[in-house]
Amino acid sequence: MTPCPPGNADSLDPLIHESSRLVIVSVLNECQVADFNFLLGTTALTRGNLSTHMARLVAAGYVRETKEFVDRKPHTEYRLTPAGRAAFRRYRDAWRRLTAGGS
Amino acid sequence: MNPQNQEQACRDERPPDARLAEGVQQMSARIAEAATGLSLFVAALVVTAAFALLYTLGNRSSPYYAAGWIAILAALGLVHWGAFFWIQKRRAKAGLPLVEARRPGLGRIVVLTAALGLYMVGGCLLMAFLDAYSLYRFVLIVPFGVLYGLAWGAYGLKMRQWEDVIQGLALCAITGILAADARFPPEVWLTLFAFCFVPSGLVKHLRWRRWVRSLQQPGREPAAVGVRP
Repeated sequence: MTPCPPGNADSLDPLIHESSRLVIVSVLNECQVADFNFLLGTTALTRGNLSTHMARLVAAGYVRETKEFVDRKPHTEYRLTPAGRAAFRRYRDAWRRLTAGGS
Repeated sequence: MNPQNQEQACRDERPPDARLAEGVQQMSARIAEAATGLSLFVAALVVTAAFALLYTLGNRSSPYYAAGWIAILAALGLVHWGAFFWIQKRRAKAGLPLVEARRPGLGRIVVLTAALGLYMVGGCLLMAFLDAYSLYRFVLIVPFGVLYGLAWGAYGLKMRQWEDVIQGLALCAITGILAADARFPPEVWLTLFAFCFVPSGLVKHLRWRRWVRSLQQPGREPAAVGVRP
C-alpha cells in the first residue's frame, strides 16, 4: 500500500494537535465563554490536567482567562481569543487538506 | 492503489482525536444552547401571556394598541437576556457549570439589522399598492412564518435537536393555516409564534438539567467523550 501523502504535517499547530487540548479548543470554539466546571464536564479531564492544559493555552495567547470570586468561592471563565479562533481555523483547514490527500 | 482508494484509506486512518473533537464540538454546542433553555421558556411564556391578554382585553381602535404589540415584541429579547443573566448568576452561586453559546459577530448583527430595516421600509412602500390583509400575509406571516420555520427546522436537523425541527414544522403549519383563512387576525399568528418557543425552551432546559445531573452522579465514567487524562 502506498503511504498516505504527507501533505504538510508541519502546518498542524502542535499546541492544538495534542488530543486533550484539541478537545478543549473545540469546546471553546463553540462557546462565547465557558467556566472551569463546564470544561471539566465536557472534556472529562481531571482538574489537574485541565488546569495544566489551560495554562499552556493561556500562555500561548489562544485563551483568555478571567478569575473572580462568587460568594467567596473562586470562579474561572475562559474564552478563545481572536488569535485562538484563527489558530483553530488554520488547524482545521490544514487537517482537511491532509485528510483530503494533499496540501 | 488508485488515488481514490488511497484517499479513502487516509480518511479511515484518521486518528480518533479528530473524530472525537468533532463529536465534542457538536455536543458542547448543544449543551451551550440548552443552557439558555430556561430563559427562552420564561421569555416565551411571558410574551405569549402578554399577547393573549392584549388580544383579549385590548381595544383595537385605541391608538396605543399597535404600539403595545410592538413594545411586547421588542421586550421579548430583553426578557430573554435579562432572565438568562439572572439565571447564570444563580447557577454561579450554586457552583453549577456556566456557559454562553457563541453569539454572532458585530458585522453579522449590523448586516442583519440593516436587512431587516430595508425589509420594513419595503413593506411600508408596499402599503401604497396592497390592502392591509394582503400586506399582513405576504410581508409578515409568510416570510417570517414559512421561511423562518424552514430555516429553524434545517438548523434542528443539522444540530440533531428534534425540538427545533418540530418547532420549525409547527411554525410552517400554523402559518399555512392562518394565511389561508382570512378570519384570523395578525394577533393570533403573533401569539402562536411566541408560543412555539415555550415547548422548545422547556425541552432545551430539560436537556441541560439531564446533563448537569449526569455530571453529579458519583462514579461517573471519567471519559464521557473519550478523553483520557
